[in-house]
Amino acid sequence: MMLFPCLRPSQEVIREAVRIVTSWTGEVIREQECLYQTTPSATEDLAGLRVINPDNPDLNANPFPVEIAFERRTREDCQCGKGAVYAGVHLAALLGKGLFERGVLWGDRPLFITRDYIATFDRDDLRWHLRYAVFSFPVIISLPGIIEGPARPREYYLLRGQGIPDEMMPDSLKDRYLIANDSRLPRVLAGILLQAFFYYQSGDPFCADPLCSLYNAHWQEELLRSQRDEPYIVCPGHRQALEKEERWLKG
Amino acid sequence: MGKIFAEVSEKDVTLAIVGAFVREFEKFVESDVIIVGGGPAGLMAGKELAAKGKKALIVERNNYLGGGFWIGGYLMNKITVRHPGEKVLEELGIPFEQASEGLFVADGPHACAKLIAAACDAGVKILNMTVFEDVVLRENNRVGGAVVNWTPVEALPRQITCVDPIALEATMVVDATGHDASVVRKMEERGVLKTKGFGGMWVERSEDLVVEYTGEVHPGLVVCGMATATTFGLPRMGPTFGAMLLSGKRVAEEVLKKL
Repeated sequence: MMLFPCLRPSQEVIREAVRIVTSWTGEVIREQECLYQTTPSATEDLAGLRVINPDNPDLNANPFPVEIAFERRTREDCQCGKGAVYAGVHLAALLGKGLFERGVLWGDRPLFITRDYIATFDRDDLRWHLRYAVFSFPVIISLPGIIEGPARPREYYLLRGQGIPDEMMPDSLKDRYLIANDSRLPRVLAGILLQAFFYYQSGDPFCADPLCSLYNAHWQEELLRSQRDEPYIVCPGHRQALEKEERWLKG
Repeated sequence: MGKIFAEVSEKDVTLAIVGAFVREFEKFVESDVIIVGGGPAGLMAGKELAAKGKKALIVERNNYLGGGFWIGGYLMNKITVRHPGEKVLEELGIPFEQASEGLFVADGPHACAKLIAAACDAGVKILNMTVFEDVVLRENNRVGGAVVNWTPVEALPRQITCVDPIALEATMVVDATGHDASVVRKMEERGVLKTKGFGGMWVERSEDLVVEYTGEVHPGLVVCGMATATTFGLPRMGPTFGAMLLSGKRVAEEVLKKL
């Protein structure tokens, strides 16, 4: 796989996750430069891909000059992750064009890890939802999306609604969701990289087994439950799929 | 036993108020910058501009200044800022303590009073109980000032209030009206520009965006503070004030470039 990571300031998390997933699959993941940096023409278009209203599928048509200037400044200085939310599928299409121009093909299995938020519009409830990943060309993984995409436990929102700040949440609750710089992040990211691996292998990144690392988690508790080594890293079915290709190097 | 206070008549008091007000008002009928909204972002912008010798006038619809800076979340009067917002607190001489890594907490009334005092000390003039009604437009729809009226006029039934507003001129106008983005919305009503609306998605990091997007949205008009969020449809954020203070500073830099 070709990895286009945002290495500032998440270098250690990303490299540890890559090490883990390579130990599982033997997959060589070649690290490239940040995809924003290699797609300079994207900066003007990025302003138009910002999600403005979570209840409206329309994106940011006719961006102000200050918005375009922000995108240019952010990408040039490698300062992404300021909190803007981008339409994930559209972003993949935009970056995919740049990849094709560079001769990167589907078989190269490109992955882009960003510090920006990505969202997809859900036709069922007609809302944009933050996502930790969008499986397209390239696969885009959002680091803050891992923390804020899957919902936290209901008790969290109840307490938050009563004005309790994050720092004062009970420890028993804090263990049930990820926070920035969480020590569990590399393992969780490794599981998501494995989802990307399966996406490129079979077209399907997910598994219905809630204990498999390929489980499509919508809650933090589901994410943490699926992204553990016990009782297994992937379900027996997916383990078999890996073993068929002599991929499973662990255990 | 003698009287404590000097003897003055009622008319002397009235003349003192009227005279002082009018003398000052005359000077600020034309300013370098009119800041609409006297919340933390507007006060910070005014303080920075006045400190650089610019004629800065704050128009505030309430009697009190400070907007939401008096209280934090849930009506609790502690305000929080995230790093590097504490540097502004330091600069203003506001006592604070560290709540956790990168998060600082200060007393709301103390912080707000200090900020108001800093703006006044720098030379900002304030028209409180004054509501923004419209923009003054010049050639090519450049913003050239603000049309204002007394706030209570708004509350009176229209049929008994034929109280025309007055216009104040300025080289630049700052929209610091918070979520309302009143100046930008007025421009929208006139079909000159379009706001993106207030994003409902909750993203803790959107404080950065408020600062990053602070700037000129139309010739003569700049936005700061939460008006930036409404103008550009930025995600919602928590009750921390660092972005308001830094956005106020940023908008002052932008205005200085234009003056």
